[in-house]
Amino acid sequence: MPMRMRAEKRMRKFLIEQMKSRKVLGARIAEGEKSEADLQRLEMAPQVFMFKNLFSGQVLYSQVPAYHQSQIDQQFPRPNWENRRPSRRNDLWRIMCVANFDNYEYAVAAYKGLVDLRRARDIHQKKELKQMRKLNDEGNLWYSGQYRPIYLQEAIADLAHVIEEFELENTRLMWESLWRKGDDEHWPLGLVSHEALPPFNPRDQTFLLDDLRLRARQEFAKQREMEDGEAETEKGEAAYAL
Amino acid sequence: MKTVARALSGSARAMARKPMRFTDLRTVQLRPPIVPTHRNFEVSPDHPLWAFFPDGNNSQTCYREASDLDIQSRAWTTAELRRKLFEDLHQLWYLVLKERNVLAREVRLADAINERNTHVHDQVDEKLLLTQKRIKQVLLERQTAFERVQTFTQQQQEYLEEFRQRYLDADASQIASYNEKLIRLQYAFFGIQPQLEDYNWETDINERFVDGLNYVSHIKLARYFAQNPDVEEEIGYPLKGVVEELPFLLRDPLEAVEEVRALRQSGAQVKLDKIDVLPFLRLALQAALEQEGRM
Repeated sequence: MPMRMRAEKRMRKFLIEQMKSRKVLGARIAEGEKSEADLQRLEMAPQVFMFKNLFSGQVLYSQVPAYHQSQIDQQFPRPNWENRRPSRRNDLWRIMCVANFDNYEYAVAAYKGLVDLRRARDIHQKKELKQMRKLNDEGNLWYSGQYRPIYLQEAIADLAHVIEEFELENTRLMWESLWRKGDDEHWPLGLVSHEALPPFNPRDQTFLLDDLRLRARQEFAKQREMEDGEAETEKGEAAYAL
Repeated sequence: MKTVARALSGSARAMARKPMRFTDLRTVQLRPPIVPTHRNFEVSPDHPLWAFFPDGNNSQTCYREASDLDIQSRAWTTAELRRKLFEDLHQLWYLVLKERNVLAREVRLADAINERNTHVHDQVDEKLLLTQKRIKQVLLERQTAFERVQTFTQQQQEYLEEFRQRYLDADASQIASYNEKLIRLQYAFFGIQPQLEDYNWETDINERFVDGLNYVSHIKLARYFAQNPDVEEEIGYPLKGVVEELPFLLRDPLEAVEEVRALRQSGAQVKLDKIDVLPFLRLALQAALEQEGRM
């Protein structure tokens, strides 16, 4: 082995650090959990984005219209041969559902609830879960190739669970395909409305999601203004009555 | 900042309600998966993919059993296909193709289900394939025959001369059928379309067309002269170029002769230079088509 100068070693160390820091792990805006104030500061709308993996059928939740490796690590805590930690490849994650909530508090609660339920499924209630899942002849999860549709269906069940459990009223779900919504009986009456996303080219998915974020934000601002107006008139009426 | 404050003040509202988080993940009652259902959307009855089903949107099943298939049928024979028009063959080709698509989809479905025997489907498909091959064969025969006939110039001239003689000799009762024959002949020999709107202005007006025009106009003129010998001295034989010949293609000989007479009396130059012939024909025919449309 050739002798290395001290300066050379240092340089090598810096280089490795540089390369590590330059590794692309996804959209940095999606890194870490966001509180209500964070979402406001980042000009996000009260939304939760659900991406589906075209290869494996797994689902990724995000509070912003993008995703980061840290979210994948967090949301797939116990990978195994049936539930591998999915790749971050951005051609594999296609939007499945955009959930618009009434306010930021609901959006944050829903996101945390979804992640919690995922943990419950993957860690705490693994054995109980097996009875609810469709298995193949060998007693494993049903699959075709690497695709296991059960993850998608469970994620949607979790979404319905969260909305009903936390009573998140005025929730508006925008589905890539209404097919996945399942029967109406699964959804709490009066809390949710469903609609379809416009047809879009997957190439322009980021634009679509960003546009949805902007529209939801404008909608949110408009509602707050209306509420303000109502509150003021009420106050005025109260003063008049006095 | 105002909105931030308001978003946070929302939590005051929520104080009354139960906490929005799962307390114990070990005991939370997980829900069974929600299975997707097609009842959530409607499929248009004229969706193009219905063409992949045997009875279109009225299909009751997505897979026909062997007993539902037409096993007794046979492929079209070449002899039968030879008697068909090109349009019929074209139509038949697409009918066969659609049926083959339906069968292929059913076979694919059976493969996926992994249990069904698709032997009968394959048998029917073979018959359809044979029909397709024969259609191609018949069209090839026609094309070769057409191309070979182009080289028989001597025989063509003989036939045209013979036809001219027969046309001139035809009596009044036969002339209608002879005129129809002439229309077919001018299409077969010179590529002159029977209908004005069928012309491709770029390719159809060519030297063959000019030759055909010459032949057709003179054959009609000769017959007219045979019936009205006094006009022959006035008009003379042959006609002078395409300007005088074209009326005979578009109109009755009587009207055409009137037109030629008017042309000559007006003293207009009727003999065109060679380079002007095709553009003139194109413009004149387009004008005739417009006039027809107006009428």
